[in-house]
Amino acid sequence: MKIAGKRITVGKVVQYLILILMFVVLVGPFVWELSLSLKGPGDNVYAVPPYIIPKTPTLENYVDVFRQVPVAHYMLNSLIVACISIAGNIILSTMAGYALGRLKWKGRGLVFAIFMGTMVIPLEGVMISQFLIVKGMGLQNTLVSVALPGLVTAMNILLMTNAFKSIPMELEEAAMVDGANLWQRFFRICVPQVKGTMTVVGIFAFVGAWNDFLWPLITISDENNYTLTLGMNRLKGLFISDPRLIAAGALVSLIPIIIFFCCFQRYFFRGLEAGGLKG
Amino acid sequence: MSSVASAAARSEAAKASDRPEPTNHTAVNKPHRSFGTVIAPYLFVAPAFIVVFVFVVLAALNTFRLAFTDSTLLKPGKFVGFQNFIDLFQDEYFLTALLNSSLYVVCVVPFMVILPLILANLVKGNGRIMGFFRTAFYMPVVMSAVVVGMIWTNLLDSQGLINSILKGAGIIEEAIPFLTNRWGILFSSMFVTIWLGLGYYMVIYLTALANIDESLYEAAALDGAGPVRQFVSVTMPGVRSTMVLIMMLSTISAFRVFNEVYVLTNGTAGPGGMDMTMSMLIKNEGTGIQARTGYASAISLVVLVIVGTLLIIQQIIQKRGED
Amino acid sequence: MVSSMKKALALTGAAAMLLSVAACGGNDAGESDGVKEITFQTWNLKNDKYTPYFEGLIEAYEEEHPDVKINWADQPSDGYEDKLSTQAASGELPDIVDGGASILYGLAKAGALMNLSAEVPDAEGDYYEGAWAGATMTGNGIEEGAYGFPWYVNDGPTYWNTELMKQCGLDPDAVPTTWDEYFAAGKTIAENCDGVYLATTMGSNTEDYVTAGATWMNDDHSAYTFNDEAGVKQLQNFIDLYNEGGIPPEALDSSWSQQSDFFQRGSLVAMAGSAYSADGFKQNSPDLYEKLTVGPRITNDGKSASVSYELLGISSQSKYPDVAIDFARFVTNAENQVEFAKQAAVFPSAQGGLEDEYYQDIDTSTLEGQALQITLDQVKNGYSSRPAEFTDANGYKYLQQQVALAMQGEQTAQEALDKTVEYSNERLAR
Repeated sequence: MKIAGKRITVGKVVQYLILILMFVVLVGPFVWELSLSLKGPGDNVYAVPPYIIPKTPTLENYVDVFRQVPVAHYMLNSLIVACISIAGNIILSTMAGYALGRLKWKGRGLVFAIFMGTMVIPLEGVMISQFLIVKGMGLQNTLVSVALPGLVTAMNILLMTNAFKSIPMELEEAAMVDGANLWQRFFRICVPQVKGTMTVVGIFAFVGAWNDFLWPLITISDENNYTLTLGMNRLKGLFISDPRLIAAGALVSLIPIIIFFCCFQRYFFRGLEAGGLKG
Repeated sequence: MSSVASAAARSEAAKASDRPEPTNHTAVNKPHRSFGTVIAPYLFVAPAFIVVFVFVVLAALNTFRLAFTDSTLLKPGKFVGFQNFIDLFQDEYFLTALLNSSLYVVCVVPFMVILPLILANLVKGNGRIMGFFRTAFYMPVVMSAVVVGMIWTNLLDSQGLINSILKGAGIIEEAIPFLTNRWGILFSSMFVTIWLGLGYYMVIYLTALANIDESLYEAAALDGAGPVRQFVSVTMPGVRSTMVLIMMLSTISAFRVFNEVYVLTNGTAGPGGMDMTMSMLIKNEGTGIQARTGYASAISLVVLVIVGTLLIIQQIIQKRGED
Repeated sequence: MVSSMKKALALTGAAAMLLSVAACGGNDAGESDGVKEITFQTWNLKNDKYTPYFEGLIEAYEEEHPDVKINWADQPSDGYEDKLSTQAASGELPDIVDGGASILYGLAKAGALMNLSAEVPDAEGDYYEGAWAGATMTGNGIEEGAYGFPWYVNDGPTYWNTELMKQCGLDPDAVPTTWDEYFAAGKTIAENCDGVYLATTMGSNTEDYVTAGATWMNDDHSAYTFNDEAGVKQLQNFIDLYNEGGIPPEALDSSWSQQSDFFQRGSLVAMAGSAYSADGFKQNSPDLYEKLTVGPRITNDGKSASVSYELLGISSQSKYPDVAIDFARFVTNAENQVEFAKQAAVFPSAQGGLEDEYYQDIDTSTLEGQALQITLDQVKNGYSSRPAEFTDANGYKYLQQQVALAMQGEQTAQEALDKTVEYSNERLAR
């Protein structure tokens, strides 16, 4: 990155051209959704060719979303579920990842294989069994039960395992020379090195918990415990659907994720620098 | 996964050089500490293992049992041996699904391993602009499947934006059958999968890129290596283990593809069901009030065996490459 | 942790059993202070428009029956069948469940619903004959009887885009009403217009065949018969229409809502909609709304075969079956049905409902009014051509797939219907 100032060359131009092209491809659909949510009753939603700037722009759709869905209440529920899921995934997968990636113990291969296996199992048919387990624990219809099956995912464990494995051996060896025990090495040496991956795990957990629809639908029966995705689904009318309203609802649900991502994305690209290996 | 062997070697080294803890250079509590070393890995892994075991393994064991019965959701079945598996291989949709899911792996995985790495390479760094692009590129991942489907059906439709533009520019005369022909739908779905996966895997690559020493790039630049050669000779070796990881992850998710095909075909699996995938078949047979849980469980078991085999093969090849 | 694991281990065994047995547990609604509590589950009806109606309904009932408490549970739009499956498999089916005939069929066949013909024989007289018939299931291990109280009825007209009709050489004042006229219109459009299609109707629904003279099933519901001469001929007509360019290729794998998107974008001349669709067009494509006219559903014998009945089933595990039945009958009585039907542009199934003064003098100056009037006539003498046992899983989806393959020339009309009949008959036996 240091070279950036000097060489505003073909390379840079190409880089930004690609970035802008990707921006259009990846974000364009989102802009269309935004435009749809701002269209008023005078706009033809199905116009050919479609247009982006609303002819009768209005915020009425957003007002409607907030009037029809107790957004704050459901968002709080979703946040509680997301927090449990984020904490569970970060803590449990970091611990498991350390054991799998850096420690030697009997049974490691087997445990690793079981984790891998669970990624491969098609979950489509497993949900009812999961519900019966949750029900057996007496937890059905609670926010905890929404977070439980995804409290830690094999995929996140795998990510953490990989992250721990890529820490250079010398780092821990140096600490051992200094006499650090296993817990100290874990907390002081290794964990700071994998903060980037921990952030990624957190994001994945957040997005997963936030967008999940089917599992909360199955485990929750009381509307007071609805998550935002369940609540927003009410905007789809049985007889007539208003695409503008649905788009507004979808965007409202996206805002927290985007804020969360914005705040934490800079930590992704932060690995060894923080550990100071290069110094 | 960097090779298990080398990791084992590392831990071996770690253990060999494990020394008594010299907090004050005199007192050493050796027996206690070594007990800690033995038990520690299990303590570290136990919480995650219990969660996964209870909510996935236990739930799935039931699946394995049902695969050998003719159960439906609301009616107990009886043991039928391998009958479900025999039926499977005479089920035209199963064979179609097997072909489609396999093609998905072959076509999608290479893109998933390379493209997000290039993208991550373009947006690494701590500047504001790059932060903006990173957030932007992640947007497709957070959109709900329904919205994604709505957008892409509108774009790919025979009178949709893409066909209109191509027609307008005189490149094509007849609309490209993105959504109306068996192969068109399959390739469109693959495209959407890649579109969604770019941001997802980019994020994983970003953390790996941070581990590459910047001085390696500087050295390569001094040698006169351009961006492409730097990418090949510094970046790619630097994120090797992550590339392997992503290859595995994308293999699993490609074989189990569901959402993209489902939303692009409105759940019909294409004209005549010719775009059926394994997960769609499981969902079709195994959910709903009349679900044939036994039959669907048999399909799940087949998926488990196939993907498991693929992963083992990848591991073997990868280990060979390292030796 | 350990104890919860043991518990969970023990549970899998239990879970396995539970999965197989329809309804083990009871409903956990308790009887406190002699209050009888039941759950009434609707599907996607809790919103601005209908919540006041249901709250009023429950309040009125509870006032009359102080010892009863009604819990109204409404499930969101998506995933309703998944939710119902879980409820049924875990023995938590609500006392009253809302569903169409094919959803209730699966539950009834597993013994999860009450046979209302046996339970309350006098109820039959409260509803129109066709409605009661729509709720009645028979054959294949099901004790003959109605497994739900008929609730609201749905059907609709055919909407026509007059501008496209003129453009493509059709007379907007003479919309086709029989299949011969319909296919002739398709030919005219294909000859005169490019990029415009007649409609997405293509033989993937039972009414497409039955209205052309095919017989869907034999009388004792033991076998399907729609691969008869009339059925095959009708599918051949659709195949010809497709080849002429009268049906968009997208129709082969599209959902109903997407078909309505096509219509609203102006790619289709006609669309078989519901009475309430008119209101949707007004809201979402105001330009198109101005150009629309309505005609009846296409049929050769003057009767609509696309009438569909929403039903209220009663769980066989209900703790207070009498209360549940009584409340369901209250919801579906003529007075309460008419009030709901007015709000939603659907129709009542209870005797006398259609004679309500609201239906005597419909204002037909608007498209909505015309749509309502036409549908009213259809509901009065029409019927449902889709038997309850022809569920998504047991033939309906397969029919759509085989029809699509026939359209693409992969097989003949005869082969497509023969295969579907064979497949559906085999499923029927289960």
